[in-house]
Amino acid sequence: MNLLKSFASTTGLQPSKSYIYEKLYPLDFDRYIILDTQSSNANFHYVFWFRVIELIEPVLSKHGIKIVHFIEDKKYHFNHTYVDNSTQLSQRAYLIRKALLFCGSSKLYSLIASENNIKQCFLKTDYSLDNTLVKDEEVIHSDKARKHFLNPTAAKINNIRPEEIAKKILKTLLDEDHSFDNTLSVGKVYSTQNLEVIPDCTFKIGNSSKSAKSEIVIRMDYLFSEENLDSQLSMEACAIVTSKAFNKNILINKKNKIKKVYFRVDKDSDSSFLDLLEENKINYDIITTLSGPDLDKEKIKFINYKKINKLNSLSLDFLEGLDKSKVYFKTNKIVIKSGKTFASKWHSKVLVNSADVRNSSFQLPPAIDQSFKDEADYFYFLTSEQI
Amino acid sequence: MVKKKKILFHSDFALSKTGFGRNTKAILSYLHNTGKYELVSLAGGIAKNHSETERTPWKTYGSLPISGKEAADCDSSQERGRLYAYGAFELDSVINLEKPDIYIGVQDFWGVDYSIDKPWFNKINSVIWTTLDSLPLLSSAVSEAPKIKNFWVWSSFAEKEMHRLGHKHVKTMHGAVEASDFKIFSQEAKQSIRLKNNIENDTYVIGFVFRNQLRKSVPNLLQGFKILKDSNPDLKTKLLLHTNWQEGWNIQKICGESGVDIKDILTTYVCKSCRGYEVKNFSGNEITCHSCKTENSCTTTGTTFGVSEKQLNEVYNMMDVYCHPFTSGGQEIPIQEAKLTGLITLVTNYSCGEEMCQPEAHSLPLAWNEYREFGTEFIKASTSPQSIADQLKKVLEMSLEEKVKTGKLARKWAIDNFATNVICDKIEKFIESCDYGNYENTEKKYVEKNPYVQIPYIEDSVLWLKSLYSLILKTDATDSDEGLIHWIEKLKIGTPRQAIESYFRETAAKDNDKHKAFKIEELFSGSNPEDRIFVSIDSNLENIFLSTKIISAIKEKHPDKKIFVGSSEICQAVFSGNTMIESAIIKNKEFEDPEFLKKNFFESYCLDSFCINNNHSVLIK
Repeated sequence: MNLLKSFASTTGLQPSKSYIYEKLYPLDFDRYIILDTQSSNANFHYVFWFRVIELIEPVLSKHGIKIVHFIEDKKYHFNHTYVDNSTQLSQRAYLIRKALLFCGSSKLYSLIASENNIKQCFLKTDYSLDNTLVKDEEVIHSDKARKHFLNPTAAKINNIRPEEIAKKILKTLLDEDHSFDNTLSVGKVYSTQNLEVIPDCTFKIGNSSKSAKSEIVIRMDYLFSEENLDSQLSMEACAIVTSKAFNKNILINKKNKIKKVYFRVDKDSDSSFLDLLEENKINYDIITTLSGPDLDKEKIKFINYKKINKLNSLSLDFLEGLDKSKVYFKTNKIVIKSGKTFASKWHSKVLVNSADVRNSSFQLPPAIDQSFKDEADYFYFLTSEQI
Repeated sequence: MVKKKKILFHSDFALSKTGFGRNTKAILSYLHNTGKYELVSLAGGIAKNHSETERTPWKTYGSLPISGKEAADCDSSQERGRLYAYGAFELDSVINLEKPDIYIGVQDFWGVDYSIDKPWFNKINSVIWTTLDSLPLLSSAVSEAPKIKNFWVWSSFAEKEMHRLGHKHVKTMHGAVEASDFKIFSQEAKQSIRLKNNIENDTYVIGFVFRNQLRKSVPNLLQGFKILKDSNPDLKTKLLLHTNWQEGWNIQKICGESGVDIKDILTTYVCKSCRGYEVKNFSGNEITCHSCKTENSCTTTGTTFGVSEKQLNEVYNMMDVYCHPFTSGGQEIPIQEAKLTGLITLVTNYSCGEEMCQPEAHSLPLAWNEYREFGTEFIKASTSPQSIADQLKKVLEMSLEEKVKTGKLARKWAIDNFATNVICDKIEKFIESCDYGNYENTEKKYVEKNPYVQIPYIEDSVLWLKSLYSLILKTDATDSDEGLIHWIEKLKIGTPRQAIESYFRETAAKDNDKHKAFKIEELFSGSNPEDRIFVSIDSNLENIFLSTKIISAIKEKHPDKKIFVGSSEICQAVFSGNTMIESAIIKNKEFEDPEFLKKNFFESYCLDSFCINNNHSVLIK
């Protein structure tokens, strides 16, 4: 039972008009929608707004409609209007009443929108109490996981695929039907720009403006070649990922070329290499894919060094049952092997290279192995299939 | 499978560079490696949710608040800040969450004494493991001793005095020192490290590793060093002060005053960028790293950022002799560390130093003169500069063989008495002897304060302040109580007694107000119960917003009646400016009593629990 109906039946009163004090919040435009893009409560915080906005913005701008964000403090890179937590509820109430549409998970803003007959796309995530007044057709539910979509958080709200929201906003606001390729998973480190070098040969990477932004990382944990590491460091300053100690002389002689060492902790790791790094004043971080008791067992060995940072490995279960030929992924990480660029370690294995990795889409490997799963957190998976 | 005993270890954070912190790391690492216990640490001096707390393989709770009211309270005074840093305000919630079987509070006495009167303290196996460093012993520690079943002190100096006072159950438990971190280097290795740090082999290096604080006798050491230099003008010698130059003693200034050339003083710099270290003359608080060349990245060592144990071992191995003059101290871990590196140690023969000066410890005792500390009247030691110079000379004249032999014996003594495995073996025996914790009936009831009580005239300021605590606030303040010390200071700077008494009375009244029944008459004066309607909506913002639709309906039905709303603090954002509401209040327990509502209101609507209390009956949906 809706809470308001319950109020009405227990009090015997017919609910009347709500009341909230409003304060003027001037904007230099009047056709806008409000997106509630940040919530301090993780259960209400939606993490795929960037994709929703990428899809709706071109359509909205054709109609001369702007986007206003309700945020706590975090602004996106979009050139929009941001209303942060320095404003009062009364000002936000005013903005909602003047908006063309409200989209978000806040029940309070949804109630204010309902009371003012403002269109909405409400992301419902709290099912403990029925206390909104939004019409059913304006709700996107989050209680069930979407097929073939990976929620990277523990919050239900991120069960909602961003394309659903984009479509709903455009339909509700403009009565237009749009179709988009569907997101399957956005890796947590997708935005990180890396150049990962498998040290099977040595070559000059060059310093184009694109590669200059990226960190060059030599993956000694993929191929342990001290000879090539040594040669590569002679040419470029690089970071190194390794799970075991490498030659002390390389460390000493190429010290100034080593930007950082990422020491990967596996089961039964040996921490003594870190002493050598410290002795030689080489910057390092500790990383691992271990978890639970396996990780706790290793932690004690590393307590005198630094925090062990946990890397994420994806299961890729969301791909099951999909037409794999329609699935593709994008990446900002480039794997370099034998002087050629690849989208993943697998692509480098089968020698399917690409000249412009960051602006291309890539098919999945025919058989997905653990190493692809370990890399998958760098990828953004989509499908052109309409799910 | 037998349930593992859960131990809450309450002390400094395991990765902080304080003596307590290093003890925490040593003890918990050892116990963790046994695999026999569930370990939880309440870590002083580190913020809640600090990412560093994830480095420990046991669960670590930070003590300092991050934001909100708690943070403001923490910043409100130095005393409050210190208590927060100790974990005083986090302890109960950690106990409630974790329900440990054994609690071990390890800190200066005033950093843990608030735990003794907690209702759970004697329901579980609680230990106070504290440092008592001066005579007469801290009176609060002595008076509280009978309440503390497991009372451990860091040195036999305190144990002896406690036993003399009749508290025979008090026993010594040294802080644990990780002996494997400290080794005696070969002469070649020593020379190689010296070379790296531009210290010549024939330079007589006198070392002192310390936190730069009042009780470390830096002026005395500088004077002793000066005497040595003056009486041995050809001697090439340096004083290595491994400490932080931004806190405590102004070493540069005292050098100038004592006639010590600052160039004869070495210190340790550590780089925040590459984590390397260098021993050199002091040349500023932030200097460029000679190794990684990062500007302003090198600072002198401190408790939050310092050298690693391995590096510290190297620093000790650069020294020829170790000298530790102090006014008093709980254990002074650097003395044991120095012994572990085979150094001959010179130690003030007072406080924990007495134990270090036993013949089997192979130290050279430093003579001292007694003085009394202002305010506490504790006996403190002022170490004789002449004695420092004499003993330094004695070591200087010793043969290498004798030094090596004595150093080895001193190392053995330190291992036998302070090594982690030795200490943890004792702690394990204690843990094994303990039962599981019992948390029945541990809730504490509020004791009503007496803001209007007559205070008798008492000449003695401390006794008078204590009477305010006991008569007005209904609590006892110990001599080490932060609040009491604060008020003693206030009196000293001329704050009138009347002002302090008024403050106590106001505090008592406010505290009672928080706990007492709400005085309804004060809020509703000027209106009759028949003219009043009460709406309770103790809920979240959206439900409060929905309630305005019902409040509007009530107003339409009863336009002449005044509507009072009972809610929570968050309601202000929704109710402010709503002219239908006479007053919005934060309700207390009385408002849950149907009889009370019937007596005071024409109608009462309870919207938070889906029921209605009108003037004749209580209807529950």
